[in-house]
Amino acid sequence: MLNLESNFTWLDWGIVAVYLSVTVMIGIYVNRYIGNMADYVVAGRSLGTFIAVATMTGTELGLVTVMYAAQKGFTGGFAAFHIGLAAGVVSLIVGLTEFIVVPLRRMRVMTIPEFYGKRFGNGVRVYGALLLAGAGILNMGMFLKAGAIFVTALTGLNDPFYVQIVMTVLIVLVLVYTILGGMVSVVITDYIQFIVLSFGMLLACWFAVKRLGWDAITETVSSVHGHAGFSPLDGEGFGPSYIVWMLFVAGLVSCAVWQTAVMRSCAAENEQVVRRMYVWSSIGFLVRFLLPQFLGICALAYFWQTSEGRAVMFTPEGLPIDDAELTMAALPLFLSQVLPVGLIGVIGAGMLAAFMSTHDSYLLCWASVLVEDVAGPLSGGRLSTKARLVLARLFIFLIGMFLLVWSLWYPLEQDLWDYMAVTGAIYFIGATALLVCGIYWQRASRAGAYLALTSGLLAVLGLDPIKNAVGLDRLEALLGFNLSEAHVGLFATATAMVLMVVGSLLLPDRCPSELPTQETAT
Amino acid sequence: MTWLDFWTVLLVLTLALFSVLAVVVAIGGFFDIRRMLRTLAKNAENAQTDANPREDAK
Repeated sequence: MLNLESNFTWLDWGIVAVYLSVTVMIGIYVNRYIGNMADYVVAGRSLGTFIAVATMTGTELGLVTVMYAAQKGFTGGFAAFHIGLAAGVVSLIVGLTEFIVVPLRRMRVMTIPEFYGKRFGNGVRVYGALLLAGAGILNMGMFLKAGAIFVTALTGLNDPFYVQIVMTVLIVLVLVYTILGGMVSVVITDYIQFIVLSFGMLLACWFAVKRLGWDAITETVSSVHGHAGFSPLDGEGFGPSYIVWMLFVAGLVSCAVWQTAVMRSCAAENEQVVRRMYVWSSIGFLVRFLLPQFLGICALAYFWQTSEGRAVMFTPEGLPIDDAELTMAALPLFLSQVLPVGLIGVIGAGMLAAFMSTHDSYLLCWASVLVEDVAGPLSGGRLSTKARLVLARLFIFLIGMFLLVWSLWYPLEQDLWDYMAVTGAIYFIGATALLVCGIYWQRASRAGAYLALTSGLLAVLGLDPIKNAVGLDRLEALLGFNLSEAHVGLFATATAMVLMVVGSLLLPDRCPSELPTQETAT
Repeated sequence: MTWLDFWTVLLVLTLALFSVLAVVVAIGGFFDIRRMLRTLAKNAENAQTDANPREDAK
């Protein structure tokens, strides 16, 4: 790690302390509004348009998003902007066409496995919920590490031991107020975080361009990445298959299939709010990638221009160094150098709040899936409201403990975004097939659903340690090209769709259930 | 139009759009939160009344 003097002072620590204390107090205060499971999980389905946009953006524009998007900007240059563009455009199309999300809201489900249950039966619901929660928990497995790297790099705490201490403190804070407040506290903290982070990010972009100059930024990208730093179609960088993978992952999945985003549409007051939320949030989906990526590009230019930075962050050939933790630390290290005292504290606090808001949303999400879609159906629906709330809080605690261990243990060997896309794919590859066919195709059957969900497991082959362990390199040698996460993911997605269709045609249900698109609007 | 021109236009547009969105959502969100808390409080009140009908009758 670089030993740079950070601009972070005691005043900034004070700002962070006050900010976090207020956030935790809000979590405790709003506990009084929690009357039942629907209040806890979807805030009593009472979100208006503006707060729905704030909470959607607040959850998705978290510290982890900022870290992985900035890392992509650092390692990919301007070409990485195609990811944000895909996210924004697809989210807008989903809002305008009501694809998937409005039928889900119409069914008044709280989780996607609940949809599986209504459409394909309880067996698919429990199986899908276990896959969803497992993939979701693995997906957030690196969140703590990303948060800790951010804090230590921004504040100048260079000893790696501090990373572990910070991870522990962060998880304790998050657990306290998620367990207490549920979705109501999530919504309010998302709103505060939306304000702080939105204006903070805009200011950070202004400071970065002012410090480096636009020409220096574009020249650095040209020197380090060449043509591939601008054109996403260039095979030396991302390439066409990666773009298609991003249209699917950052586009469709992020806004319409990923459980945390779908929870927001399920929490909306009515279908009109869902449509408006997606149309407006398309800007948020674009921004969540684009602005951090731009800051990552600025970090690239900054370290390229300083001799110490160039020695640590780049290979002798002038390429970004192949060390995921170091490239992830580039943005906070850069911010610690260019932001003035006070503003760095506000942004640091906003980022930490963002970290907590993402964490609480995800913890709440996976815990409620385990309660509502695994424990609930397995108990025959006999769990009382009190028992479900206690169980949700217990699951949140257990997941938190797992995350701490996983963050310390798992060796991150690829870009954080690619790790997240692959782990998430275990769930969303099957889920996409079930949602699309379950909502829009009457003949979709239970057998097809089981086959599609299972094929999502193929996605783990995209993780570097698994890829090395099963010897996919021999297949690569045979094929004559490198099998990226995108290739594996696209293959698994196509397999899931084919199995869903073939399974449904060969083994149809005796009594197909009614399509949600045919139900009366509420 | 080169790729750099395209990304520059996209970046500037995004910054402008997001600045407007941030202001609008900050103001509108405040009123939405107030309404949400009122609704939840009312729900909690109704739930309590339903749970204790005799006390309510008194």
